[in-house]
Amino acid sequence: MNHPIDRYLLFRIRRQYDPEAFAQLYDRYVTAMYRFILLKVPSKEDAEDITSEVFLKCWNYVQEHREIKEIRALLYTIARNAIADWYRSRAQHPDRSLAVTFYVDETSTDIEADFADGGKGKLLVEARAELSLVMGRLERLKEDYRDVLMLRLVDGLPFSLIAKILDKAPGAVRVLYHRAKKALDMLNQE
Amino acid sequence: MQHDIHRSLRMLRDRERGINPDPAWVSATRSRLLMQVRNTIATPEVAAKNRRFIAMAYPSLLRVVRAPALVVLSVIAVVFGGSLASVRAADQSLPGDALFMLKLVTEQTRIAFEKSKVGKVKLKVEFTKRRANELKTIVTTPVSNKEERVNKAADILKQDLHTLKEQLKDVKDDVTAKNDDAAVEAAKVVEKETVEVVKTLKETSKDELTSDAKMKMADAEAQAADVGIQAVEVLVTANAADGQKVTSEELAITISQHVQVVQTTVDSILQDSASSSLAMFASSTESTTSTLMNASTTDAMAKDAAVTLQQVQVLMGESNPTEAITKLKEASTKTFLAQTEVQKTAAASPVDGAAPGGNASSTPQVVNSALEPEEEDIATTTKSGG
Repeated sequence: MNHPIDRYLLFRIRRQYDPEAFAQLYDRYVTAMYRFILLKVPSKEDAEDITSEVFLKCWNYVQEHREIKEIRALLYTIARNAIADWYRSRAQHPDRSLAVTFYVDETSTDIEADFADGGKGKLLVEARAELSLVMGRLERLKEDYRDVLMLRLVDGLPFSLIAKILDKAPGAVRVLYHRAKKALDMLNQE
Repeated sequence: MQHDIHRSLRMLRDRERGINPDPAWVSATRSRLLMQVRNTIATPEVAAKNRRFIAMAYPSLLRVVRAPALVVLSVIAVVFGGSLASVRAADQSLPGDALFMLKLVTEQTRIAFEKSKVGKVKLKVEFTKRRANELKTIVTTPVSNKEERVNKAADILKQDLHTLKEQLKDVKDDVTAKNDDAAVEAAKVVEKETVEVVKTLKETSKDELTSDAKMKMADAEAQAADVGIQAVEVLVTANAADGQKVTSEELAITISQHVQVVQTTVDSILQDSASSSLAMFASSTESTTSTLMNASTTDAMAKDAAVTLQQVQVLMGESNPTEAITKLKEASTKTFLAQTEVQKTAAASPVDGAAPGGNASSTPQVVNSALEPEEEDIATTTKSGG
């Protein structure tokens, strides 16, 4: 699953400290990372900030010359941690609003979300709201189950990648996933 | 897995794929990152120094550990990520409005962030009250799609009341096990506010509603009354354990308030049936006879409940709240059941203004068959209206 291009870029970054290789890595993954993060933070600006932070952290991490199996898994892991850190620092400053501001057109009842492509942004917002209501029950599941469901269903990641992010065997992740679905079903039947 | 979740997730992913980062931001960030990165790799010696520096400055990077709070935050992030619109705009929204979902998400998030169980209950109560007020607004003011919205709002309200009932069970356990102050307080809040909910529902003039909608509202009212009585039960338990936490005076006032609610309901049942039987007296077809019979059943239930209510008063006079609340529960259940029955009958065969010998004659079978099972029900079980 470890893409040969990634392996090559990783090699160039580590051995040759090649910034161009890093830039190519960025090109390959910036959109995926942005979307992954966008889904979890209130605004586009927050997503942008965190995304650039993630790439910088990734560079620094690689410079440490630690054993890095797969750069893609590393990026996702750093992203998850960065999002957690971001929320933690928000929680310490309760005056900072976590609400997204919309520009409400005064003459109509439609909402134009402040995204790059207006109409699509609104659809995404609605889908997120509906999803969050439907997923509300996730709170009652075990941490492992929640992780797997989120990464698989919301982020659409392949099992092999999820396995690396969660540091488990791929087979174990599939089993976890099926158990998690069952548990969610049982909750929804209550 | 549930169809709902699959559908929502698919939709979300599809829409998400349509979103791209702002190209200007992408290239600006690319340049900036390249610059930052170049600055860190001047020479291999500097690189080595940098590595040591990074090891000190970013220790967290050396352990890519899954933060325990991460997943809770991811879930909350999804909830939050439902992009809260400016608070005021969402606040005024009603079921059926575009922003209403966001209002619900905001509320859910507040509950999720609330740590204490009791705090969660209080929030839930506040939001349930909101649902009742929204329902009232929808019924009494001109809105689009009234029928659909009333149904939606009533459903949401009933769901919330059901959740409250479950939460109350938890609270009751806390009270009996630990005689927890906070739990007692929660029960008080639930009791007080559900009475408000019942009042709000009663006050709402239902004349313009379809019979389906009226039935749903009657259901919701019964449910709210049920939750209220349950809360009083908790208070009775608390009072028995510790007369300071819930004083006998407080309890007496609370119980008499609930007695009042039930009495009002009894009165309206008897009043309604009295006025409709007068109307029916004028036109006697087969259908009206059977409706009259059914009315007499609900009347009997109401009168029975009234008698039970008097027993409640007596028991309170004897300072016996434990038995009093049992009787009160009985009376309340009977009464709201009767009220729901009245609505059901009205839905099955339109009583008021029905053309004599018109469509009414096709329904007596329905009404009649509804009779016998109900009579058994009253004797043996107490079915709650929700």
